[in-house]
Amino acid sequence: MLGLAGLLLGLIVWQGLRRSAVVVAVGVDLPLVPGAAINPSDRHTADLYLEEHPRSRLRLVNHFNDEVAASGPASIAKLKRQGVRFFITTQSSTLAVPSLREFADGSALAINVSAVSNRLSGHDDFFFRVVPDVTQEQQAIARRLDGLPGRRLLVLQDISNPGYTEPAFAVLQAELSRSGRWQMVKHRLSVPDFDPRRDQHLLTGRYDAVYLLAGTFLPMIGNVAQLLYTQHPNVPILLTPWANSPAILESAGPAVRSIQIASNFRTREQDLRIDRYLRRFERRFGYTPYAMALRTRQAFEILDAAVRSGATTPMEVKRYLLRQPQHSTSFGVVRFDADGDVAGAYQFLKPRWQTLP
Amino acid sequence: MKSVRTSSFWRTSLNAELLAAVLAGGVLLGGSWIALSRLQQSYVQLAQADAERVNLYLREHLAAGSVQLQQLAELPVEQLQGSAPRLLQVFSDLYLVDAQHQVRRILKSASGSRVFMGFSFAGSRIEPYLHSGKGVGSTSHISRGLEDERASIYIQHPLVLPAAADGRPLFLLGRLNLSYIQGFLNQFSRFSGNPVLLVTRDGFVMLSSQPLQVPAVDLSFAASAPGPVRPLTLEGQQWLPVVSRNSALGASIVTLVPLDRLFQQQQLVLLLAATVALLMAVVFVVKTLRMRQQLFGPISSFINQLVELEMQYRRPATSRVPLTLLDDGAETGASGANFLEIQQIRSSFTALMQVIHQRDLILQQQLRTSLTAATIAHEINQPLATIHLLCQLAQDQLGRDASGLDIPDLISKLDHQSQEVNRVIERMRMLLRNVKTELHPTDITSVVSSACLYLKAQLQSHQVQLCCSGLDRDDLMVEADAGQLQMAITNLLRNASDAVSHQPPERRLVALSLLPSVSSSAAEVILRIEDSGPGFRFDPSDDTLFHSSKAAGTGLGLFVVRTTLANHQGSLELGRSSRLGGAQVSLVLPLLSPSPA
Repeated sequence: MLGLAGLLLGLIVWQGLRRSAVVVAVGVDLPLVPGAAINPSDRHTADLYLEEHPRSRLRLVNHFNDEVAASGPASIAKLKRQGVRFFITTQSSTLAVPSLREFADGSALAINVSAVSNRLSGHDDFFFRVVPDVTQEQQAIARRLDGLPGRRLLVLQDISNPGYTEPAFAVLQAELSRSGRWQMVKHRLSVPDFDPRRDQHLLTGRYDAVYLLAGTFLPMIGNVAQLLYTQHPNVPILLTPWANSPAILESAGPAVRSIQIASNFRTREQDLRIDRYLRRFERRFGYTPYAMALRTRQAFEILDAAVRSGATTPMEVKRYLLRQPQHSTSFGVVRFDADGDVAGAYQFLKPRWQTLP
Repeated sequence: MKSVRTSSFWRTSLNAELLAAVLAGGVLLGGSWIALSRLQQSYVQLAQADAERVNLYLREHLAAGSVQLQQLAELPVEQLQGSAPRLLQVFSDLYLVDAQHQVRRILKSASGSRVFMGFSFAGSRIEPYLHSGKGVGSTSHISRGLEDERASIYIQHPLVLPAAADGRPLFLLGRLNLSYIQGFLNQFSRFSGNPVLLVTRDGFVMLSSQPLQVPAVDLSFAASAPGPVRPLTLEGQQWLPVVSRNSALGASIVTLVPLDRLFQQQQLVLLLAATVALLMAVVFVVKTLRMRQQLFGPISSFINQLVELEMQYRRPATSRVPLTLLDDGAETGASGANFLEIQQIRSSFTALMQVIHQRDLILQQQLRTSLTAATIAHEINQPLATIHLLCQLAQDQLGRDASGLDIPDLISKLDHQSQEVNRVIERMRMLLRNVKTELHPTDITSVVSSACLYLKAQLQSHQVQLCCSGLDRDDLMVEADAGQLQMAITNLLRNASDAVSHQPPERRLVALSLLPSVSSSAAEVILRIEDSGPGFRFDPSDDTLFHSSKAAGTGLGLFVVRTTLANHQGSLELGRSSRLGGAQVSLVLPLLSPSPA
């Protein structure tokens, strides 16, 4: 009897130890911005989260993005072979779409914070997103454009990230065609390779609004915006949520006066929760992260809550994420639908220098 | 009473040696650790000096750029449009900007630059360093350039001559060509073996020596402590960052010391110390085991033999077995023959044992003789006293009244006492003969038969029936002194006869049997004498020197028998006869050769 009790006690202790020893590795993207210094906002977001939550069982593994789309699934497969089962990814749509198959069979689960392609929507898989898809985003931008005065619209589409800009433009075009108010001129350019002397002719003409359809927080978006501003000083310049970065505003110069950025978040002046968090981040790392880092923080909070609830496998985490009607985070609630997608409202920020995100 | 904790010598020795091994290993480890720490400190100081050299080079480069820009600023505006700016290799980009930091003219531009005419640096990260002061140059901190997001340092200097067009002040803004610095870092890193990084305050790596590609370094923990700080993990490697601040650049020069080498050295030293300690421990254990086998084994054997010796001397002398001398340990390998001390102990102990043994024999003999002499004197004294008394009585009676004399009776008593004295003297003679026993192959059957014949008349006169068995064999040979043996058997038969003398004539039975026997060790012959008397009145197992069951007995007869058997390597067993109910005495003697039963 005593032996049986001892055995049971040992089993309970062993289970407890086993439970406490579970380590969930999380792949964190470190975006490689072409031709630019690398921004470690997401990695620092992860570091700060774990510093503020020392009892978290999440452990970090670096996951580097690449410019080449084909490298996306390969890098994820490599980490999976190393035993990583959970990914918080900042892959853009161009990288995330081919990577989707890596999250189809339940061998790994991803929470993406930046890929909005609608080709990722509506799949019952292990790929979750904390950002609304491109349809919602471009519908919101189209609505904003419809609210602006004028008829002539210049759209500059970045061809370096077609996984995002192609479906985005398609949605935008469809939405704008409903009202039929805008006469749209579209030029395609590679923002990372932007050359003001070579590309200046694309910006010439008379326009009432300009939409720069580019993302991935490319700092040179600011240069393009500034050149646009010099050509069209009184024309509003709309930017996607993926241009919501202090580095872009620094390059934009006086164009900041004309810029409007679509965002799911309010500015830090408007939202004290965001301001407090950014102050902590700035105190710790000495710079202001781009807006996407807020979503990375949300993803960490959600995944950590799932692990704290006892979920340790991709299937268990998926069940947890779908079972909860909503997930509370530092910057508001996140609600996943049955396919792991979210809906969200947009507002358009008119930033001043150093005030974003 | 205070108890003293005891332990074996070899265990204490081993513990002490193992402790010494651990201490030696610890001292070695500590010493190595201190030496390594100093080495590491020196290594870090070298890296610090390297970082200072890089710092110095950067300052010189900045100063040279500033001087060149100042010289250029002294030229008229018209000349600035010529080839002069292009010859300044120290700048990759050169602009004329106005007080609002807007580019008014591009004098030199790097390929792929995204800065254009009319581009404004207002609101950018370099704006705080641009000012419109007169005649004073300024240098920006290192940051990502707005031209191409690459690391950049801007130097601005106001033009000395006013611009001709509108009279507003213009400034020369140059972006330093950092490819020189990049090349310098690469070369420096190659020679020093340590990667060098130029890191801004927010942790972004602006420049790094090839091939290291690190986006950012968390130096927040080093903000208040220039020099070596806690290790970093970059590209799967551990580094010790040595930080040197450059206030002019607003950046830190970080020299990365690969910790792998230091770790390898530490691990090597640790391994060495651990190996030495382990080897010492192994040597000590092996040595102790060998010592235990070759030194402590013989000592332990010696101690056992001393204990055995003590036990021997606590026993009666008659039951002592001959002492074996110190075991030479040849079979167990614990001979200790390699050690002079052990050989000396063995030889000394052997000699001591021999001396003790001889002295013991002498003492026993002396004791036996003394006791016997005293007893005999006492024995002789008794009949002599009786004789003396009878003689006085006879004299008195002869002198007073001869008619009432019972002369025959007195004479008979005198004769009896005389015979008693004679018997005591015989025994004394026999005892004295025991001192030297001459053993010869002897047919025990004939000795027993002789004893029976010797006592035949006495037995018949006492109406004692003697039943003999086993006397028809002629192959029971023993190594014996026939005279002594016959005396002992005669004594026993006489004792038996005396014991049954108070029984009715038909119950006066004595049985003698001779039985060969094979014990576990040797062939023996047992001579058993039983009687129908009252049996022993004393405890037969008590081997006190003299015992007797007779009222007037001295126990001398039994003592004689014991002595005889001891002289013949035999043994005596006393007990009660199951057949006749009286005493039973068994003499066990070793046979010369095994005899079939």
